[in-house]
Formats: sequence, C-alpha cells, structure tokens
Amino acid sequence: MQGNASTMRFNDNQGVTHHLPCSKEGQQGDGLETIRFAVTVHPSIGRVCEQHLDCKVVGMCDYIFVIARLSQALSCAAERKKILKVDLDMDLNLPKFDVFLPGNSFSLDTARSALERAVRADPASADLADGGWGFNGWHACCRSSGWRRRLGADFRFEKGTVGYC
Amino acid sequence: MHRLTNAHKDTNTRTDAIVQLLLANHVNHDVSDPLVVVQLDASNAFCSVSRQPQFGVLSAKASRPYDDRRVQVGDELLRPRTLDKY
Repeated sequence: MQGNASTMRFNDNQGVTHHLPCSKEGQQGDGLETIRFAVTVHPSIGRVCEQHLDCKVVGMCDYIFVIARLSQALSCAAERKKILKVDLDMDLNLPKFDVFLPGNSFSLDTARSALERAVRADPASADLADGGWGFNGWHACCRSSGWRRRLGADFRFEKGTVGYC
Repeated sequence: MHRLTNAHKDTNTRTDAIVQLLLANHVNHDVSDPLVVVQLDASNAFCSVSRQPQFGVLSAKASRPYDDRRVQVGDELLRPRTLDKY
C-alpha cells in the first residue's frame, strides 16, 4: 500500500463523512490503522527515550508529550524530530509544537527569555527552529486561572471550546 | 481507544486537562530552566509513516538501520506478543 494513491475517508465531529485523495499509506477510518501506527512508531519513541532518561515521555498515537526541564525537553524533542524523519519518514507538525509552562511563575517575557536561552545553549535544540517556522511558531502557553497566551500573539484555538484573552 | 485529534471539538480542552495533571504536583520552578511539558504532533502522521518499520516490528528483526544507527540490520526488535495473532 505504501506509495499507492487511495482515498481517505473520515467522519468529522459533526458526523459528516469526508473523502480526500491520499498519495500514500493507510486509510484513515480503518480501525486497525491506529494499532498499526502505534506498533510502528512507539518502538522508535522508546529508543529515543533511552537516550533521555531525565525526560518523562507519554506517547498517544501521533501525540507525544515530553515532561522535563526545558533544556532537557528541547534536546529530547530535537532528537525525536530527527529520528522520526529518518526512521519513519514522519515530519513534526511544527505549528502545533507547544511548550507548556505551569502556574503563575512566568510572564510572557520570562517564558520567551527561557526559550531563547535554552535554544542558544544547545545547538541541537536550535534544529527545532529550522525549516522556516522560526521562533514565532512556538506556542508557549503560560497557564494561570483561565487564560493563556501564545508568544508574540493572542492565542486562540481554531476549533477549541475554551475562550482565551 | 481514544485518539486526541482536532477532529474532536474539545480535543484541546482534554489536552489542557492532561497537561494540568502532569504539572499539578510541581510548584517550584527554576526560572532559568523550568519544568515544562512539550507537546509534539506528527504532521499527517497516519498517512506518512513508512511501512518498512512496521514489518520490522512484526518480524522482530530490523531490516535497515534505525535510531541513528544504534539499531543495525539484523538486530532484534521488541515485538508485543499480542501481535502474533495478526
């Protein structure tokens, strides 16, 4: 199937069925695809984890969460980006690359400074900024009571149900 | 199995809930190197992942190098025994 053109079919949250041309790989909507995907990808995720034992990693299908100190998390994410591309021909969705900082400890400026310092300190982390998405593509979400902001711009989920200032 | 995806209108709410749970017990933060949660998402993941690694996992043997050559051709790969029936 790899490389064969096909038609993807999926149902959206409104129950509407969509058909989309697909240039390669499996059919979304096939129940086994989730298993097949996890079986293929998660061993690779695990091998990268072995190189970053200070990081706690949660993988849920194509979502990966890395919990660690910022410098360690960025290093882990940078290596994961490289390995996923080389081993599995997968690209990270860079506009959806999120860095969550908890609590009220960080203003937007503080968060931005911490990110910039971490990237400058580790050349491998700088690789995350390659490919044209740059620093403005990072979502640094400073959480407090009911609000969050993205670095450089007001942050609003396109399809989310939660409002943000 | 629940899959977090933008196809669900409240996915981001659920993601937020998970992140809050993960960070709930960490209250002391080093401003210079804080504890964070980084969320990565693969682009068009289900339609782009290569088939060859899947066959490698199913056969429990690498047919090409992986993981920056830390896994070589012929090395044994971990395979869940529950996959035997497939």
